[in-house]
Amino acid sequence: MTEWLMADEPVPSGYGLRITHYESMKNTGIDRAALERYIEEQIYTLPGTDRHREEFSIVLTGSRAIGLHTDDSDVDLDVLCPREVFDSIQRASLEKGLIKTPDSFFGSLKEDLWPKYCGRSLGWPYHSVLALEDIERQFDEYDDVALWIWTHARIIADPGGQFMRIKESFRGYPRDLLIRKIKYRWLRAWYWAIEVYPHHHGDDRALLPAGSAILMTVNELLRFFYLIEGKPFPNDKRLVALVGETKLGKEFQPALQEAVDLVVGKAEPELTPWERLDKAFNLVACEEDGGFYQACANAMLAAGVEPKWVEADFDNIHELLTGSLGRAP
Amino acid sequence: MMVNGLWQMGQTDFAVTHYGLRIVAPIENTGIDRDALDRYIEEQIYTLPGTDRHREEFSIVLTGSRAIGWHGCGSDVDLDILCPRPVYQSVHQACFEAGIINSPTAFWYSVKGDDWQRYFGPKQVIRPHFSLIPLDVIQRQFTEYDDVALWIWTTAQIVADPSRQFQAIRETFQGYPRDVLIRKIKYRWLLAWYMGIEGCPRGTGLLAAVSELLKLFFLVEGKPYPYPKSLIRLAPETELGKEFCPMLERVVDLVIGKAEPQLTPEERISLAYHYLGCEDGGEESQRLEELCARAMIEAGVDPNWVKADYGNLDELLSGSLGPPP
Repeated sequence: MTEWLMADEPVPSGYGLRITHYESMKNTGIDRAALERYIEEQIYTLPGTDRHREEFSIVLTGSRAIGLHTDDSDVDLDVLCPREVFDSIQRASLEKGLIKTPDSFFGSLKEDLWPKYCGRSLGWPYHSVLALEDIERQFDEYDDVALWIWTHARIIADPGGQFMRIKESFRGYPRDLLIRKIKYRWLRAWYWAIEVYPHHHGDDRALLPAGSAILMTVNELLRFFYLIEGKPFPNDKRLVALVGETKLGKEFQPALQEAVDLVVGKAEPELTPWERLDKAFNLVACEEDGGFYQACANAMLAAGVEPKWVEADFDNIHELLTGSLGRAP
Repeated sequence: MMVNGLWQMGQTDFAVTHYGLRIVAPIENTGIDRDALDRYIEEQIYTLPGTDRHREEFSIVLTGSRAIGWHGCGSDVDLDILCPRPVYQSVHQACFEAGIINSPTAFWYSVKGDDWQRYFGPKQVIRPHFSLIPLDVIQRQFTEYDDVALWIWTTAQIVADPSRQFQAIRETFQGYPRDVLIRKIKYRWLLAWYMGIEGCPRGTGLLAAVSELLKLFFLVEGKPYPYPKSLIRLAPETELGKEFCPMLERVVDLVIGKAEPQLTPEERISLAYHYLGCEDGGEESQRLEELCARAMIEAGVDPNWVKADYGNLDELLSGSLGPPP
């Protein structure tokens, strides 16, 4: 029997699983027995293999993995296995009608089944099956959001330490790569504000690029706040909630939040949409920014970006547009 | 002034300017005075240090709103200078050392001095500027089927193109290969719904979802899409855009607060969320989904994939269709 890695000490469960505790399920809001039952009945019964326990690493991701869940948050499980196992399971599950997707595996229960595990109050349990090679590629490519997800995942089962080995391979970004990422996010932020925001608007169809420009600028700056500290950033859903963990985020997130509030009319609803948008633009792009630009410039220099590059600032824009820093916007 | 390079500003309309440049070109509908453009190129571009063979080495193209006739009188005159890599390196180094440009790693130049409106008139609000880009970068963008770049370069108006060095690259694009197109379509479709459903704050996600759908409208017709600023203005040129742009504009209006201003932002955004069809959408969003599904299948996407719809999400998240969100 494969060890489950869910408790400080081996704990015999109702299913006879030895749970060893690697990463606690505390603060996840998940009942351990229910989770074990779900894994036994829904994951360890998947067709295409009869060696589930030897081949499946199971991890908890999403809000419950980081303790930011509410009662009705989903239970996001990812099942990671070698490519050939994935292919076999995917094919067998598709043939049996367990999944509908021809090229990927996303499993969810029928509505009448899911309360069986988590009760009616808890969110829906999902499980994806992914090839370990894809995770490894994400680490090799320093895919920021993936790095964030997997390094924050809670390991439930991990035969042979196959997932942990990949997870531990991330020791921070190489310096040149980090500098490229920092430049990329910085230029993207200002690309949206300067190039996309319609400064001479006379047409309400321009509300889309206007609103998008400000919101994208804000999101890019939030990502920048993580990278400047050498950290991968979370997906959009968590960016705002977690950015206070960073130094720049702690200081400037409130102003950026105000810009977002102006875009959607949460702030100053008495103004017209264009008045709000222009005000939001000035908030993020104004030269009198309460030291924001200087703080970012200092942080870039401290992270190793060349001073002349920082000084040239938006004049470097063609590095972004030609795709030499990463995918062009 | 004797000019060796051929300016290609029109197909049949050869003309001789004050500078003796041979101009062939539909500079019409760009709102640019031809003499002013000649003077600008002569004085600002053909004087750049680092080469003395500007006319033989520099392709000059007009991009941006003026290239497609969507400009206003104050719109920028966006010029890009394209040249072989060794020329780029030489010009970049010379200009950087001379303090003409500021960036150590890219070339972006704007006209210096207080009289910068002398070329294109007082209605210009931004200094005339241009970029210098190595031709191999353009070639790479074509090879990689970079959508926005393809759109920019295939809609660019050629002002000068010695030895057809730019045109030769441009002509390599004869549409997307089928497998590339299918991957792009899947990517945009999943990204649209991912942003709509998962994007946060939800308003951000909905605006991103609208943009992704607009891109999809171009792709299902096998066309590259424009940059974000022009997306919603040009999308009605597509079949799906013609029908659904008003609906998507309403989603935007709800998010921004132009529509239903009496509601709270949360109420408006929630309304937009349902209206777009992220959850239990109405008749219009169902029709959007149906017609998009049909267009995807016609473009070659596997019907089973289309049927599985958002269940394919892990293809997006694992990065197998393109950079994950």
